[in-house]
Amino acid sequence: MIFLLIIFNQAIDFEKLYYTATTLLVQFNAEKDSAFDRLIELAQDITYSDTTINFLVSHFDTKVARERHALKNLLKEIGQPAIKGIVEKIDYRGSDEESRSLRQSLWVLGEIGGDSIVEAVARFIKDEQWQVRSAAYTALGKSQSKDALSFLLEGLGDSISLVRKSAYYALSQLASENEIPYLIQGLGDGFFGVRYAAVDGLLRIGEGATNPLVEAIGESRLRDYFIFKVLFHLSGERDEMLELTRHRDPAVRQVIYEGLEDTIILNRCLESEENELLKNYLIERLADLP
Amino acid sequence: MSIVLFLFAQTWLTYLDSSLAFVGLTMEDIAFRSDYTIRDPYRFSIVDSLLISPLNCMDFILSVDSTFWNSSEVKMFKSMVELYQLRVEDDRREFKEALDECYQLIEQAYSETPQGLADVFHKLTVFSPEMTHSIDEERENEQRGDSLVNFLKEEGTTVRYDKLFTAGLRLLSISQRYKEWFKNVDKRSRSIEDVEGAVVYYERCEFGDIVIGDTGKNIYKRDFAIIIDLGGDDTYYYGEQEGMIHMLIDESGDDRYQGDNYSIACGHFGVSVLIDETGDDTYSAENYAIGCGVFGVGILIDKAGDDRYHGNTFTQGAGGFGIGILKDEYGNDIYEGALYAQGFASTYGIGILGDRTGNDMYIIEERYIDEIRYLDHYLSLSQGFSIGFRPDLSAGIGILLEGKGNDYYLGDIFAQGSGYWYGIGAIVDGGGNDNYIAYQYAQGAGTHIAFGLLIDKQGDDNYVAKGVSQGCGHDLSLGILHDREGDDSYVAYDLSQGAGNANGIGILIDESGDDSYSVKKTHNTQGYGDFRREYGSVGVLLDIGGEDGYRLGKDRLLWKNGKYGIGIDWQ
Repeated sequence: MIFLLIIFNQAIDFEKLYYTATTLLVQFNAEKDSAFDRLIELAQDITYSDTTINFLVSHFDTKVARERHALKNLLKEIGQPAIKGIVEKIDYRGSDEESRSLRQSLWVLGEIGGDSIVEAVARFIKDEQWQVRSAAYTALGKSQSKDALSFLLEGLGDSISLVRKSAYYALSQLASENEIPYLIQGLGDGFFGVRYAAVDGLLRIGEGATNPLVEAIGESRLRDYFIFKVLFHLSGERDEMLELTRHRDPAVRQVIYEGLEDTIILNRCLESEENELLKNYLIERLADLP
Repeated sequence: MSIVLFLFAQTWLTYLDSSLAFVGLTMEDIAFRSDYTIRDPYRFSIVDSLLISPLNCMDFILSVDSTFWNSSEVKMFKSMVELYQLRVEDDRREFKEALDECYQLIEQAYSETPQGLADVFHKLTVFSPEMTHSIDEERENEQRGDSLVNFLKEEGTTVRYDKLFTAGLRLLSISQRYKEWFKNVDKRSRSIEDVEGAVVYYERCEFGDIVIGDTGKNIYKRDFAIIIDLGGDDTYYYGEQEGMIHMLIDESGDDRYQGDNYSIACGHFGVSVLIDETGDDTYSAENYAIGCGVFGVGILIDKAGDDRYHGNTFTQGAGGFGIGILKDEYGNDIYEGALYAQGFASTYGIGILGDRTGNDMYIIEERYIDEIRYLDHYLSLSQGFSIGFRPDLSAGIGILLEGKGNDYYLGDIFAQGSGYWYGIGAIVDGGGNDNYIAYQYAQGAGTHIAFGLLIDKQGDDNYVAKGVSQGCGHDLSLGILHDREGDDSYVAYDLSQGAGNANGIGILIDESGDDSYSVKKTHNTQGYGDFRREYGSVGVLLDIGGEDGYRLGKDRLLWKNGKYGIGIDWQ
């Protein structure tokens, strides 16, 4: 039986299929799609599944960006059955200091997602390389597994902004009302990737975030901007928020106007607004509203 | 000068700062990192610092522009060498003694360099215009390319660049003061082999032959180390340059320079300087020619006349592991190339094409199909462009500096202020009503951790491109199109006019004039940033003055396109 399997495997030219599935040249697009489909088919065939997945994982160290993207797409399509093969090789970082193989493993595991990736991925959140930490947090977020939540808090204070961004992204995917203080803190972070991730997290939590957000208004212009960005999506026009349409910062006023839908209030804002850009913005906004 | 630049920068930076606030961004958000990948030994340190503070690239390019036009050529060259974090000095020795010293410096520069380096670079950068026939061929080419790049990476450091650039500086200096020596030489009319017409001086030296042609017509049938021609309509036929020092001074006449590969002010494992003082001249060659430095220094200075420059690849101010400069002072000129041309830099290279005045045409011919993206578009990789060998070797600094005149720029894919992989590509155009036409990755486009800038200071200009252009940053790159004055027209199809993509930053700034902004796709143009790697890209369209027309916006209005894209017409 083993002998037969070897013969079968030898008959399939995996390298050729792989090269074809990752061709860069536009004139071979049809062959590329067909090779891609064939690799998926093989991975889903019980006879070839392990061989195919192991073969694909063995290319994780590639330096070529298009191969990395193709590998991600292939293994994402293969899905859960690919996890075991990837996790088995996850400790191989790659042939040089770039840790390409490990980062690819984390990327692909995240794209597949699910509870079963969390343990393997979480081992790398304290890695010495920021790229690896960032990839690990992103994968944890993409897992959509509540099991990942407990690993995230440390990353929120990472000194590297892109790692914080990934940790906040993960938090935005998994947070409950317990994490609202962290997310509000993120609204004032020095890196916009963090601020916008925090916005997404608060929007996902919903109405429960409203009061803590209102209480946090006034600490900094930047944070106010994002607080209003969230508040108007969550709860529409509340009286205590409308008082703030006289916020001294035009960018904050603009984001408030952006959230308002009541034409009477908007007209009142137009009357009091002195900034020409914002006046024109309000005129346009009023014209667009029914 | 620096104060003026500072004040100028303040204006648009202040507007940019205020504009970013409307999408919840600060100036600190306009930043990248220098350690996305492991640093290769050939990356310019200026690229590292600009990745940390990307907007400083404007001051950097404007300072290069200012030095290029306002300093002596020797000083300009020294400032370029400083970008390698090297210092070179001229010791102003007597003519022949200085040439001997140049020769020795060059020998020292390559004393540990393996033979194969020249071939390897050639194989990586000069290729057939034919399309790839099969996927197997694609793979074979890739594998061969990998092995060549590895060799280049390993052996490129064996060149002593301090010695090489010192030799380049010394030869440039000699070329500017040859008359001190010339007036004392014994000039007698004679004829010599390989030169038609009268020669007034001939000498054989260790570094090569010195020839001085008289004021009549001469035809030089081979390459000599030193040619000084006193006038007449001359013809220079080049074989492939063999010696390590080349200096050609032509004092007047409508001249013809005819070469093949490695010719006409090409520093290829050597240094070469060509100065043509006056006349309407024609420069025609193939690859690595016309102000080209490859593991060397090549400088061509044409001071006057309506000139025509024609080459194929690596031409007209092109540098790779060296410096290539083409400087044309006066006249209406035509520049034609096909790839890696007109202010182009490869790895560890600086390539500058500067043209001070005249109505000039910059044409990139359609010869090398862009088979990665299209079956009916062509790679230009030219006109203020820089590219390395991703992911192994960083790009360099490729700049096209235009002074005054109504100019015409034609390219296709990657052109007109565009950078790729840890490098800088830029155009600075000083004045005149200019036409910029390209298809993609053009007109201030940074791609894959790089900088692409187009700065146009004056004139009513037309910008036409399809996409990823006109202030577009793709993949952790910055693309800026900055037009300071004039009634301008911007036409694009998609992902342009202040567009950030894949965590890139794209900015279009128009400071004044009544402008028109036209696009087909409104969802990713005129101040647009997409979402990638779980965070945003930044796109800004900033119009600071004039009565303008938009597809998306209006005068004195702000609009948003995506979470991180903003368009603002301030006045």
